[in-house]
Amino acid sequence: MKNNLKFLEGFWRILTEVPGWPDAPRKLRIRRLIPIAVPLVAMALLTLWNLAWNQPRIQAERTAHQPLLALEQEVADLQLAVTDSRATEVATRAIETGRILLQEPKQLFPILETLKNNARANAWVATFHQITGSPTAPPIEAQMCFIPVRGKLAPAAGNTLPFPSLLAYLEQLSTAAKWIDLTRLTLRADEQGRLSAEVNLRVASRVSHEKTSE
Amino acid sequence: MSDQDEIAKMLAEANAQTEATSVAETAEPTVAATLRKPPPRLVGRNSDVLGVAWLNGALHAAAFRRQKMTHSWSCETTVQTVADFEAVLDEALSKLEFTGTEMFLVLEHELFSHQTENTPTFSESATRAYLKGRVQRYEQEHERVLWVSQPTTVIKQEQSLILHILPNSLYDQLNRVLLTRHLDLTRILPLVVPLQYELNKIPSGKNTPVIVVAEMGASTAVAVGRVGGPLLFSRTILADLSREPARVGVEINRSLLYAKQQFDCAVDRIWLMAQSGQTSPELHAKCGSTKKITVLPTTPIDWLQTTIKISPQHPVNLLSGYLKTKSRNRLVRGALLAAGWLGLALMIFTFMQDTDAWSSEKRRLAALKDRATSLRATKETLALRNVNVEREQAFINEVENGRLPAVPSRLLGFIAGVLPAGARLTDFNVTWDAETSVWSFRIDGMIEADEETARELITGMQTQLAKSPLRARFNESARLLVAMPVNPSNTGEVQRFNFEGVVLEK
Repeated sequence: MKNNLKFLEGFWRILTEVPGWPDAPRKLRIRRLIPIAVPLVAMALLTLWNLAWNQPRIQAERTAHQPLLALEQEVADLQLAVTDSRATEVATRAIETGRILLQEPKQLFPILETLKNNARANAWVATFHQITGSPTAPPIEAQMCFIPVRGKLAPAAGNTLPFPSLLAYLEQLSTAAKWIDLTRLTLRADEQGRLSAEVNLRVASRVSHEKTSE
Repeated sequence: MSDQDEIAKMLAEANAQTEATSVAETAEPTVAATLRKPPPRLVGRNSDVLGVAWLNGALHAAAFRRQKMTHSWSCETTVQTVADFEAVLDEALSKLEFTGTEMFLVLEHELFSHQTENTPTFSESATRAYLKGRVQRYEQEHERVLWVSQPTTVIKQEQSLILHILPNSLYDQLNRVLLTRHLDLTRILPLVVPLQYELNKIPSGKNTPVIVVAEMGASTAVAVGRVGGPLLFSRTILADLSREPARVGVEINRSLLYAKQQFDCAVDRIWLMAQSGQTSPELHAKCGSTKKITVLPTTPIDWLQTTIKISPQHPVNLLSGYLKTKSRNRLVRGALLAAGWLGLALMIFTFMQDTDAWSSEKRRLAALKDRATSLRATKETLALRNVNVEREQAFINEVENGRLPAVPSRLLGFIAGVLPAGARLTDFNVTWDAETSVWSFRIDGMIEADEETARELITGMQTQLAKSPLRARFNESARLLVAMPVNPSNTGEVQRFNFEGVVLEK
């Protein structure tokens, strides 16, 4: 304690020293202290003003605008998550990709006709029909579904190379412009070597949720 | 306003106050000499320095401005006590028209003693500790003192020093007198310091032993040393050179003999620093005709002019500690002052920047408030758009990755290719199981061969299927071969075969 007091006294003497006048009176010492005290007091006042009034006021305004700032941030995040160019690109690709799907189940019949014609072209006689009463309905968020189709194939009269022509026809199925998957193939040959085939197909189609919900 | 101007102004104000007080208190009796009211003094030029030589009763003063003497004055009366000094000082200040505050004192006084000390050749710090112990013992026996040591020469492995000791009471009295006149005493030097300075400037060869005799009021100072080298010793003869030249001559001769005996140093030239050379014949007579006496006309004011040239940081300054403290304090104060104002400037600058930043933030917040509705709409649009993009991307992925490979036709084609000669298929079935995502197959057929050959052929076909890109795996449970009843019209053996399994298993 005594040492602290001595230190403070020494510090006071240093701060208030009047050169050439070690025992200058207190009034003059205080005047010598003014140039040092003024900036310190000013700094203290500025700090006090800042902490006691300025910062709380700024903080209050920031808090009041917090929901708006959060909204602005959300908008920025949404913009950053997907850029406009990416949105356009994805939309274009979706349209292009969707072209291999039937836009609606009604388009199935022309497709089946086309398949029959293709079979005829390969010297096979084909009959196709849609399997009704699909056991599982597509989920509500699904954007596409598969229409199951069953078909029977028999070689046309005069088809001397039924096996190669069948293979060629099946290959055409998988490379068709529309999405057609061959999910089952059963091929039988009788005692005389006559071939008959059964196929199960699934044709991809877009889902119309309005209709589904109806 | 500069620091100097400010202090000058403060001192002038204080002078005016002192004057007013002295007028008001003239009726009160003076208690002590140091309480004598000083006459008003104009204080303005703080860079001026006052030099006072108080040499055994003789007082001389000179004012200096940038080491050049502007005025000088010598007291005609004897100054013995501090009271005398105080009275004479006022007159000196008046005569010199001194307006500064800094002052140095060349002092020779009966209370200011110079003791010769011999110490073993310690390190500097050990020597200082030794001397400190000596001084402490001296202080216990007498009183507190200001002291400083001056190294002279090393004789027979012993360091010789002169210990200059000034009683603290004398210094306090002197300082009090000076403080009331706003004089800052920065140096107290013994006469030997300017004397040694002059000794080193004597035009003789380096390390030539010389003796310097200086008139010092009612006494005479003698210093023996080598030019440009260490001082051998110094002494004060309490006899006036001009009045008692014969006695001084005897003492100088004794000093010469002492130098010869103690330091083995034959001095053959005496430098007499006095106002005139009238006494040189007497000295010649006492010191021997072989000694050459050279007179250097010197007045006490010359000692002051020599002293002003000596650095204020000279080690033989009784107030060197005070000077160091003063310099340190000035540095601390200056640093604090600079730090304070710089800090304030920095703080203001930072606040201004913060205020600017806050103003722009406020403008932004206001603008944000104005477009809050459109922001909400934008958010909804963007959220919807992003959901759509996500759905479309999922759709693209589903379409691109969901298409089944043409396994049935490929498997049929492969089997047709590897079917051994004499074998034919009767039933072929490939099915995609959507739940397990597995292609399963079943093959029935006939082969015209004996059982062993048929088994080999069918196993070979299976191996080819397993190693093919279709990666077929066969069920163990399925029977491979079944013997078929032989047709009576046919002479060869026919075996039925049947196997099943999965392909492209993940």
